[in-house]
Amino acid sequence: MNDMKIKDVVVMERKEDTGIGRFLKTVFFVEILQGMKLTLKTMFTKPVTRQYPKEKRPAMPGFRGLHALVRNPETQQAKCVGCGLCAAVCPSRCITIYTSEGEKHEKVVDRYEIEVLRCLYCALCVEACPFGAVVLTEHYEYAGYNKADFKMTKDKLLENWDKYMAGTKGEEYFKRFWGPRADDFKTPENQAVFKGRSQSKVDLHNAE
Amino acid sequence: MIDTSLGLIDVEEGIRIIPGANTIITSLDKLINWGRLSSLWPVTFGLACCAIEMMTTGSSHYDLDRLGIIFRGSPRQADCIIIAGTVTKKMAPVVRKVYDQIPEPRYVIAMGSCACTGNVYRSYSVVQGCDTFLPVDVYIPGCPPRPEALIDGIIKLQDKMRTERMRWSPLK
Repeated sequence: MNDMKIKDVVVMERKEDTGIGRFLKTVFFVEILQGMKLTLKTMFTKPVTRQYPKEKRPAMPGFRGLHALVRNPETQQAKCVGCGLCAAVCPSRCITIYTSEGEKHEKVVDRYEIEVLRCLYCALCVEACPFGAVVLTEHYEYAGYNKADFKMTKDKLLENWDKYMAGTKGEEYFKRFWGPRADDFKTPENQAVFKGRSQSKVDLHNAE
Repeated sequence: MIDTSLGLIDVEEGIRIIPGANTIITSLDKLINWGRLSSLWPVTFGLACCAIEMMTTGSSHYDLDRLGIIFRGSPRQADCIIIAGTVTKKMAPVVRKVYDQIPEPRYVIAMGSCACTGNVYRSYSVVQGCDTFLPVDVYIPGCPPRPEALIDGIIKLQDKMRTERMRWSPLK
């Protein structure tokens, strides 16, 4: 920009009609007629308004709407293992996970709650989840009267999955938008999974 | 003379027609509520990016005018307030003042996550939800909500207004 020379700059002068031309333009409303021509043209085109409650435009695939927890088709339970990565990555900290120890010393997800009103729909939770267990569905019409209605529990989130990601839609969603990581829609084999406690105790203090 | 022996005909729940008299009768509640919800004039309070979506909703693709909604610049002429965006602590008294200037009956729509809860801004300078100082009627989630979601919220507010009883009466 700095080495632009003066001669490169062309000063455009605005040419205005003078005398008879300008007079005729004013008398015959040329500019108004040009405007009215456009108005007349628009009168014969289709209206652009979408009659929203009657006619709904489907959300684009991959739209980030209401949350859902993925239901494992084999066990009918949530895929979530309670690792807490989604809660850790969430910028607005709206995900809360409560876990406890099960009978086989596995991690049991007792509560999985999302405070939907705090969410900013960045889908970082979907990106962070190594199991493909949480999604954002394409549902967005869920305005409500109560703040308490927006507190999503695990059951509600699983219900959302059944409602808004029915059939193969959920699978498609992962394939299209979340890449090869969840391509087979199963837990990847190289994923670290808790397989019970090891029997031999390692002495951490005297290990040298 | 009206022959009432013919009986009244129910058109809808609570709305009846007197046959032969060209007259519809209903309760005052229904009439007033119908009048209120059919011309809901919001005062806009665009504070952040949600305001952009609110403007879009008013434009020709979504066209709020067909629902009887005309944006007003003055709270004195308005029926409800759409709080669209992050309410900072500095702005909160102003929002409250504008709300106080709206004549009764007045309604509040909290649009977007920021107005509802404060969203990511867990900060010293941001109000954690405008329901801390306003009686919010409808919460619209989204960041920002789609124009359809805003219309959905407005329709839900209209549904709420439809069920009101005796709001017009000073006795209540």
